[in-house]
Amino acid sequence: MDNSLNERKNNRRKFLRVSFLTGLSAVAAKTVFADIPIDPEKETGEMVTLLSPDGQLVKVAKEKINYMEKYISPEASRKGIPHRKFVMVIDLAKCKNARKCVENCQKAHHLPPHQEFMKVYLMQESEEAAPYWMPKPCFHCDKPLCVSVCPVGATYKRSDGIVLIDNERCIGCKFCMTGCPYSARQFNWADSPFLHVDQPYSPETSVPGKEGTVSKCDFCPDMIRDGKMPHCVSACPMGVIYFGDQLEDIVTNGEETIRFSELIAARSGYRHLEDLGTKPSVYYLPPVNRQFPVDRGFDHEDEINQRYKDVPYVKKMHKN
Amino acid sequence: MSYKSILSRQSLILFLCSIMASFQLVAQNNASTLELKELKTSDESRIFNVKLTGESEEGAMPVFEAKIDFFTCADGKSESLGTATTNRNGQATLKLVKGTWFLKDKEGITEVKATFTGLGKLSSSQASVKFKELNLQIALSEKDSLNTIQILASVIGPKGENIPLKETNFNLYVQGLFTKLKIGECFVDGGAGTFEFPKNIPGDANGNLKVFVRLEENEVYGEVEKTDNVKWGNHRSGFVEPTRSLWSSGAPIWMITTLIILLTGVWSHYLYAIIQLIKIRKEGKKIDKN
Amino acid sequence: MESNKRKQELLKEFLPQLEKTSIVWYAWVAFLFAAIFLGIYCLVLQILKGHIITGMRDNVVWGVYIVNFIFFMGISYAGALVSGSMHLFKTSWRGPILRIAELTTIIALFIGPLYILLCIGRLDRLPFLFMYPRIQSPITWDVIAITTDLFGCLIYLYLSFIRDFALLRDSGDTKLPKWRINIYKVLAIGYHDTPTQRKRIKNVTNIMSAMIIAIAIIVYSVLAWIFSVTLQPGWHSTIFGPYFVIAAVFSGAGVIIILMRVFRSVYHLEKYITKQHFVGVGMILMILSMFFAYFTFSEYLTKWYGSKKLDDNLIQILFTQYFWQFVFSNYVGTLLPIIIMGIPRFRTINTITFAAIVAVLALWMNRYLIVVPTLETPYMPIQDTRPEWMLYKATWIEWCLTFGGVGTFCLLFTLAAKFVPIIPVSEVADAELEMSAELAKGQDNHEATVTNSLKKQIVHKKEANEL
Repeated sequence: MDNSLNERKNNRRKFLRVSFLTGLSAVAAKTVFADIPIDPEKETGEMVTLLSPDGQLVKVAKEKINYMEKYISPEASRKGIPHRKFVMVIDLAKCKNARKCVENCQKAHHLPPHQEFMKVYLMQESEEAAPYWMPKPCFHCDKPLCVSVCPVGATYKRSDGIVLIDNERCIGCKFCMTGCPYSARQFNWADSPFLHVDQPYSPETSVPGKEGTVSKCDFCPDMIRDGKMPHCVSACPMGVIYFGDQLEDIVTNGEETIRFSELIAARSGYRHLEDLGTKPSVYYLPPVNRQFPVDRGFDHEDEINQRYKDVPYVKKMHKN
Repeated sequence: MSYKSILSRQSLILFLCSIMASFQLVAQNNASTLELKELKTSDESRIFNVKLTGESEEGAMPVFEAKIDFFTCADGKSESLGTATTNRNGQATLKLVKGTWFLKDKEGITEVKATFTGLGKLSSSQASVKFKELNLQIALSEKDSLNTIQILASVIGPKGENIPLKETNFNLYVQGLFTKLKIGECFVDGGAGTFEFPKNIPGDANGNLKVFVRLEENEVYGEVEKTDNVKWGNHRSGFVEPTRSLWSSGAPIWMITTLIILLTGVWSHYLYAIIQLIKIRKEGKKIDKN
Repeated sequence: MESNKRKQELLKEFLPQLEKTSIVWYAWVAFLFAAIFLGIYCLVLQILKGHIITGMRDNVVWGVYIVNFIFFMGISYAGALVSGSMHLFKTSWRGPILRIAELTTIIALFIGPLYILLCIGRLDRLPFLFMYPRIQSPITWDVIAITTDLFGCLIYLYLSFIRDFALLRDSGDTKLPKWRINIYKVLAIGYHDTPTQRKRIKNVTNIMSAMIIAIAIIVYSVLAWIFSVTLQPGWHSTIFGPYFVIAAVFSGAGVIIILMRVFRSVYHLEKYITKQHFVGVGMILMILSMFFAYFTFSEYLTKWYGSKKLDDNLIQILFTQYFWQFVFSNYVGTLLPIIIMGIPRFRTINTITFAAIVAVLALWMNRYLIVVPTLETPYMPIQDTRPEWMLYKATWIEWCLTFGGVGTFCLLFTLAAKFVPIIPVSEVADAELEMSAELAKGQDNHEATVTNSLKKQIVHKKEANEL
């Protein structure tokens, strides 16, 4: 660090070689120091509330992200991150339908309230079987039927295992949606304010969405390139979702870092509907030795709880 | 300028600050909390991380753009180490390179304090860590087809002599894509310990691994870390995209051949039909002329 | 030259249909245009407001549009199969209904693909289908197949028209405007019915009719594969190819019967399209309805008998929520043609037409039951609170576009019948000649076997001409 601030300090105290980091890069630091508009009324962009050192809540413009700096064009997004094969492990024993994964994903991908790339299902295999919460992203299958059936190559499987959609190529025929047995894909049925985001489009961010095209969970490759985990992983308060690279055999939920193969072996990991042969990249750990009773997942407004009314467990609950 | 004069100036500022702070006490009803963490890194520099949170109408929030002052203290004396400013997450980092001078007490213990001077509604807060200098060396070697990590740890005694470290557990990690994976612990006694490195860690595409040996949450020495890069991984080949499959960009050969056979079969008949039509037309023209 | 004379004579009989246009005709065309414009209005709405104004949602992503697509394509292939095989196997009574079948083929083939376009979210990107084709996708197969089929049908249709174009060109004293005669002249490409030309046409028509049958089977199987290559429980079936082909011919035969009935009344073709024709096509309808019933039974029996959860869900929903539709499409629709055709007493032109109408509607419903309930029972349970997201219900936009398509079909048929005689004059005249030659050859020992009314008619007519 050799900015002027440090130089002055070094001159004053030569016996100390102070290296000064603010946790931000020099460029970012400059913007923080120089560009924060104190007068919020003049700012039309998105604002965030922060606490100033004198204890005042101030509204400042959201940090401008230089999208072009990290921009991955639709063409470039067809190649995967080299020497990686991403994998997700979802621990059903820990999920209590807190929906933080859903909400953070929606926020990050600018999705309207009802559109969810990550969905939480209440699963119950049969009347007598135990119900459990099942977060379900796109499975990024190794034999992706959605990719096979696409007539224009708008959806593709990358070398890092991620299946993406280029919504500048997609013609909106919806064949991939019938091809996917996991209902992972959604159609942008109408134009909405959510589709108008001032940001260059990249299949890696899936933002902004486009009317008349298909979209789905993208495993957040933009975050991965940044060394960060997908939004659903970092958002989960229970550490339900593990994410990592299958080739280096390491997955993490942010708190705990485990070897993927050991985790799957120790906890009998499985893939949903394995017999369909789609080879998903998402594994589940069975809901045994649960940390929460299933009822904890109903701590939501009616609109959400209503979704599960057809599950035998819920039907029975309503009867009693 | 001598050290002493600087010292006195520092303490004067501190004194003034505390007086100012006491004047503002009435207004300062919102508490602030400071967390401080310290780490001695592999290049023997020291990193101090702080996080400042403050009470507000909207609950506890990170405080941004707050100046955090760092001091080294021992035996009632204190000296400034520098200042760092918090970012939007309320975090600030001070990195002091190898050879930075710290105040030490008789037992060689250094205390580092981080302080936030209260301003406006926010009260002041401080946090401190104590640590003793530890020399940590690691040596990675391949012996008898075994990969071992030798850990050497010693403390400098009061007379400057090397005292081997006793009965201490070190944690070993390898760097992953996002976080570090713990691969085991190593017990060090008499200043040394060996760790047999597992053979089945993949590492990156070339089998390269970044190994971390860490002393963590130690009451005496704080956090100390040593890293090294080594090619001990047994990386499997990556996911190879099939060149001709249903889901690749190139189609399977049988599909292409079938399509070509079918299309040539059909379209050649069309062509024949069109040729016949052209012939009919030619014959017709002849008749029309006559 | 005897044949030429007879052809001109026949043509004279049909010319009024091409020359005169009644007020009723104009009213009918105006009505069709109104239906089409309503459809266009809905299409514009759909393009402007997005697919949200249809009943399609994330689970049922395809609705009435794809049903119409399968339906019209089916009719088209049926037309091709019926006309192709009638020509190839030289069915003696084919003459008068051949053109109806051929026109059905080509017109339905123009309309069918329009419905797949309605399912597409971004019509502005259609060129991508040709710019970035992936031949692994059944949609690409379909694009190739439909294009190939369209070309083949156009050639085949044209081949059957040339001789009549030549007749129209040579008809001399018609009230047809000059420009129309000129069009006929161009289209007739100098055909003068010389022996070589005649041989060529016959030869090519034979080849093309065989080709058309083969293509129709492949193309309709490809359409079936769009569904059966997916893992959806109601679609992932090995018999879908043949099942769709049979269903197509079944519905197409029905449409041909309906059109025969319509043209018979409107153009007073009682002399040409006789009960024998209705019974003939009706027999095809009956045989196909038996095949269709067999396939349907086999398809649902295996699903019902097995215990797979998703198959079971589908059967459940079909026999509860869609019970009456299921009964209509798979019981009434197949049994009625069998009963009416199977019992000779019931066979009248009107009952056969009625059976055909029921069969066509039932087949449309059958496609609906293949598409919609399957999408309503996916692998992942539908956990949603919005009813329109869970169950499909077509909106008025979709219905208007459906009727717009039917309107376009009728309009194109009306216009085509105004442009060329709906009875293939040359074909009929030639058939008559062949017949009489045959008759003359074996008059003594064959007389008793000549029972059908057409032959009698021809003999009668010939005698009248000779007098």
